[in-house]
Order: sequence, then C-alpha cells, then structure tokens
Amino acid sequence: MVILITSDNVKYVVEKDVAELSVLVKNMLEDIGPSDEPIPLHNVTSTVFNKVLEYCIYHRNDPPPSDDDEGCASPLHKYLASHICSEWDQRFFDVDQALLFDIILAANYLDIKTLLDDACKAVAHLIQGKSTEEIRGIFNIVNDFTPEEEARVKKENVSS
Amino acid sequence: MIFCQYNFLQNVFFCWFRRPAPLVVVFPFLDLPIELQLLCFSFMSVECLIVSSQICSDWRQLRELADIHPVRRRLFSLYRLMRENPRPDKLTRRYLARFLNHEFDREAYINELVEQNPIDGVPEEFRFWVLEWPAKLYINGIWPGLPFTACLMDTNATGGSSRRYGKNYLAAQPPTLSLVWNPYLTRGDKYSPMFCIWTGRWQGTFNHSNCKHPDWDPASVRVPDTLKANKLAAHLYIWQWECETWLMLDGESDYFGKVLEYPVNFAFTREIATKEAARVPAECCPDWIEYLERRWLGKGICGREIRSGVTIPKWSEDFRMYRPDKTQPRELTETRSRALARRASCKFACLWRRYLPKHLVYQFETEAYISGVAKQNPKYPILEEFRIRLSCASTEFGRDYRLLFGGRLGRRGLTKVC
Repeated sequence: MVILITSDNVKYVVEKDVAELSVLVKNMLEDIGPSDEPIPLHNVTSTVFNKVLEYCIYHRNDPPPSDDDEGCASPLHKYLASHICSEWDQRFFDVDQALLFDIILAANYLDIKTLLDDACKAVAHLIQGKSTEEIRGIFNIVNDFTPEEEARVKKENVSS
Repeated sequence: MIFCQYNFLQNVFFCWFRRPAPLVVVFPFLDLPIELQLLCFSFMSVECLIVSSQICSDWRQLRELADIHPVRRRLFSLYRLMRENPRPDKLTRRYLARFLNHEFDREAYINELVEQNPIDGVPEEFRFWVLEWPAKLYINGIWPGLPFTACLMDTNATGGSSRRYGKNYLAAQPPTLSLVWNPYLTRGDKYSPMFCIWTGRWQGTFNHSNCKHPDWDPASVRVPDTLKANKLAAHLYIWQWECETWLMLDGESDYFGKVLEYPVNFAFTREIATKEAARVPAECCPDWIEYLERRWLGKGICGREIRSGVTIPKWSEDFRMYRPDKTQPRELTETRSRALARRASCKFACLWRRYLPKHLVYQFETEAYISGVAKQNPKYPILEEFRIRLSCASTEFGRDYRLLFGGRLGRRGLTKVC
C-alpha cells in the first residue's frame, strides 16, 4: 500500500499497482525505497484526485502504452486511438469543463499518459459540431482577429 | 397602500439585483501549458481543424505546430486548396441542401467495406475522408451520403456544373466491393477486390451472374478466401474500362489505395477492346486525397470539365438508379400515369438529340414494360395515352439501330440490338 496526500491534506491509501500508473509516484517510490512515509501531491486537490483514482482503478490491468507501438500500429488502431471508444471512458469524461481542465493538469503532473491522452481527446471532442462562436464561448477565447482578418475568415466560410 | 406597494416593488427590485449571476463554466484552454494545448490539437478531427483556423490567431499557430496525423493534415490541405481556388456554384449548394443525407452513418459505411475486405481493409486516406470530411464540402458530387443517382446534365436538380457527369456508385447502399479480373494490376491471374466510385456510362455495369461469363473459370483464378466466404456480398465485375473510376483494394497489388480512372472510349479509341486490354495500365492517382485534389481543380480524366455559366434546361431532373425495390409499388393513379408518359416522351426527345452517342444501340421493350407496370398495379388499367406515347417514342436510327430511352422508366427491358 502507498499513502498519498493531496494539496488539501486529504490522505489516500492506495494499492501499489494502482499508484504506479503514475510515473511520478513510481519514480518517487523507487527513489525513497520501501517506506511508510506519505507521498505529497502538491498540485492535486482531493476532488480531482478522486477522479484520477477512479480512472486508475478501472484501468489498472490495461497493458502499458509504449512508444514503439505507435510506429507500427495499424491504420484502424491509429484511428481508434484518436477516439474515446469505451463507454465507461465516455461517461468518465462527461464532467463539467472546469473539472476536465483540472484532470488534464493533474494527469500531466502525475504523468499518467493514458489519462492525459484520453482527457485531451475529450477536449477535442468538445469542439465537434460546434460553431466558431460556440467554441470561443466554451474555451473563453477572445476573438483577436483584426477587422481585415475577420472579413477574410468570413469570406473563407462563404467560399467553403 | 401605496407605501406597501412601494415596499413590495423595492423588495422585488432588490432581489432581482442581488440574484446571483448564472454560473458560466468555461474551459480556459489557453491557460493550459503549451505542450498540452498542442496535444489536444493532435487529437482533433479534420472538421475541428477546419473550424480551428477561424477561432483566433493563437489557434492558427497551434494547428501548424501540433503533431497531427499526416492524413488529417493532408485533408486539411485539401480544404485549403479548395479555399484558395474557390468554385462557387449556387446550384451545387441547392442540391446539397435538398439531397444531403444528414443521417448517413459514416462508421457503418466503413465497417461494411472492411467486412468485405477484412485483411487489407480500406486505405487510410479513404477511411479518414469518409469518417471526418465535412459532407458539405463534397467535391463533384462524390460523397456517399448523397443519393445513388445518375447526373446526366447540368440542371437545377442535378446540382450544377461542378457536379460530375455519371453515376455516383459511391453512394450505393450498402457499399459493395467488386471482384475485378485484371492481371496487369495484380500479381498473377486472379480477381481483385476493387471499389467502384463512379461510372460515366449509360448501361448497367455489374455482372451478377458471374458463373455464366465465358471468362469465368473458378479453377484458373484466385479469389481471396475471405471474399469467397462473402461471395454474396461481392459482385464479380467483368472489365469494361470505359469511363470508370475504381479504388484498388487488393493489398497484394502495387496499386493498393490508388484510384484508377479510365477516360471515355478508352478501350475503343485505342483498339484494345479485347481481352488483352486489361493489360493496358490505367491512368491512376497515387491515393484518394490526390484524386480529390485533381477533381477539384478540374484535372480529371473522365467526365465533363468543371465550368460555370452553363445553360440550364428546365425540363430535366436527376433520376434515381435502379435498385431492387422491396417496398410496395407506388400506385399508378391516372394523374401519375399521365405524368409518367409526359416525362418519358420528353426525356426521350431531349436525350437522343443532345446526349446519346449515335453508336449506342438499345431497344426498349415497350410491351414488356407496360405489362410489368400493369402487373404491379392491377387496380388501375394502363391508360391508352400512356401506351401510345411509349410506342411513339420508338424511333429508327439508321439501318440496324433502334433506340428508345424512357428516362426513369427505361431500366426495365433495355436490350441491346446489334
């Protein structure tokens, strides 16, 4: 068992194989050796860590992703890799956008590649079928085009 | 009283102002570290990439820097090519608005093809195009979500000059691979799986009764086992190499993923209308996306040139290709019968004058057609006017040739006389 403490001082006792899905935790465990010392996770709150833990427990038995696989993956695999296929994953990422944002940051900090990839796919999926204005609204983006550029963009839309 | 009312209104006013603002949850995308923003872009579909160029200048830069799937990037380049070489066509837009099938299931379409060719599947370019290309940006009417029709002229209904002349076989549902015998394209004598995209010919193309064909000798050709198992799903196609477009799906061939296109009269003009004609190489595009680029730029080998300002006849319309209709036949009412007759003679008159090459020889079996119609609609007798109009449309063409084309009626009983 591994003890993890989130930034808001919530203590989690997690099975080792689940905790080691995070490369950060795995490296720390290797560095400190067998110890009962809790590992602090400075950039992750308990709300976000609950979600991360849920993901790790569900995917604990998945084969680890390797960079070599990407080079020889079949076209179908490559295509599927850009979509969230499992229903469970789809439900998992059906959260409000602020939490999704935090999950991405947490996955990046904890270095959980599969979670990071899946969360980024979920972000890409948010855009699907949305208009320009809707996307700006979702991502809080200010339109910084000059009037000339704006006119050009509109013209491009018309021509397409 | 007035005081009470004043207080009440004051309270309402106060509460309204103190009401908390609706919570707007946004995803602060640009607050993510740059590498994570790039990672998100690398998972975007082609449609998203297209929209992303219109959001803000940061997104434009991110799109250029992100590690995007090469096929997606090429499809996006195709979009740029279309944008830089616009070909606005109001008729195309009208056609699209009217006929585009928004319920078209892209994944089911691809799965259907992969099931018929499970080892080699379909080329990546074609797969991504079907799955992610925005339908409204179709090129020359080449899109599986459009009706399975033949476009024979520039009209309001057929979609204008940017739509391609011929039959949109890509839109046949369910999509069906063909087995094509062509030793030039494959190693050794065998039938290869190919996918018919388009044909510009008039007559029917697919030979379902494969075993009766003289060239068909099951012992001499190698049909992939996977296709043998799925024989019912696959046509056997006897080459004609006449104004056709094919997507090669034989993984053993060097032509896998290439698009083969044969111009009009390819076989006849080169005097190669023999068995050896199959050895003549086709004009081919290295892949599906390059083929689409050529079509957009009007560099196609087959079909009419893309141009605008074509005179639009008002009498014609797109007609649906013949498919076995499992639904109940439509009732032939008196009004409809008259309309059919009018359309039949009208089509005939216009078509033979302007569009049919003179060497095409067909005979329309009027009686067979009329008896077929009568059989399906026993409730209503065939109008005499209808019968006469059909008969009148038979015309002599020279000594040996007779031709009648009955428009959408004409598929039944068409026979060659020679």
